[in-house]
Amino acid sequence: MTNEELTQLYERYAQLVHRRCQRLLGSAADADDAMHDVFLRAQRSAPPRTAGSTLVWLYRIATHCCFDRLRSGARAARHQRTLDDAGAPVLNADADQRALVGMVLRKVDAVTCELALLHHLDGLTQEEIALESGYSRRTIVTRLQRFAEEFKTRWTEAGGAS
Amino acid sequence: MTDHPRRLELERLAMGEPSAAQAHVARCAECAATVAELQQAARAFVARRPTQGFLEELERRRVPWWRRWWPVLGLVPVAAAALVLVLPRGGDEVRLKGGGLQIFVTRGEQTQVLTADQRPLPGDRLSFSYDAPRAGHLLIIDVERGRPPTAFVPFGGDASLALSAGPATLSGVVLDDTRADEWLLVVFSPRPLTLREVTSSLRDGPPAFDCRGCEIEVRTLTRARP
Repeated sequence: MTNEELTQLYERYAQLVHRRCQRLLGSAADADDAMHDVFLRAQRSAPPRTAGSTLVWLYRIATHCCFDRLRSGARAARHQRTLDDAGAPVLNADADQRALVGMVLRKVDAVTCELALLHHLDGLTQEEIALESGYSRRTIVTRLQRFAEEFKTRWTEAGGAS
Repeated sequence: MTDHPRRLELERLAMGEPSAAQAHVARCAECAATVAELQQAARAFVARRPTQGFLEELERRRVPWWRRWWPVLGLVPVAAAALVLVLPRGGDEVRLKGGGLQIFVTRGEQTQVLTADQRPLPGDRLSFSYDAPRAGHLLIIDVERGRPPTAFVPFGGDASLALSAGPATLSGVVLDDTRADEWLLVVFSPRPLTLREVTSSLRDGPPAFDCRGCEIEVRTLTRARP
């Protein structure tokens, strides 16, 4: 990707990428940092799999960048609240469910996080995720099931109705 | 009209990507307004963070940290030697000192030592070097009126950073656009400290901390105001 292409990408998508990072990381300063990482990583990555799906491609990269940061040990505790917030739109949850979603997101691996956010936060169907990400349907189904089961287990443990 | 397309489709459309929402938006004033808002937000964002600065920051990030710090690292032995000569030693009392810490502010490609009369801007990167007089534990806490204190060193951490004697270059933080009064509380301790024990006694104002054998410094961080 040339600098000219990178410039176009930045000017078009920076705000949405920044907003996604801020939603995941919880602070504007961290989101600034992560946004630069996203574009750096985008420049080094293979282009989107399908034409016209740049936004989802950048969101996927953003998810990985943010979770790399969140998982880097010392910051995890600080960002626990943030991950809880990231789960807010998932399942249109109430506060208890949001906390549980955040807990589950912290328990699963980065790919499952990515797929769960694409499915529950962005509303992509499994077919669309497969098209955008290149993951097999089987992988997507398995990971989303794992996420759902993890959520259900935690929800039951917390005394919620199944 | 209540069956609106999902947000992602509106975002795609606003960014000029093909979207299944196109036909809907053409006849839905509410969604058309959302798309217009998204486009306006994208333009405003880039106006606040111009592309040139973004590209320069990316270029800076591509350079290995040790190359960026090479000029500073070259000065560290000199600074260390000066500190050894100047600073008194020993004693168990709390000492208020400022000799160990240097704060650098990076704006674009320019990095300089942050002096008392300089006022950093949102988006500036603060970095730190600390010349530890002996092995110990360092915690630099950002204390801001109206917000919970957070650790700048180790960034986002909940406990102090173990240091060997001598100079250490420490990672930085990008400043947000707060307008509140802000201080940096620097605690160098002979024993490990947790963020909680240092901040539990802080009040909403200039920070103070009592710790036997610690070296403590408070720096006021005055932001530039528009």
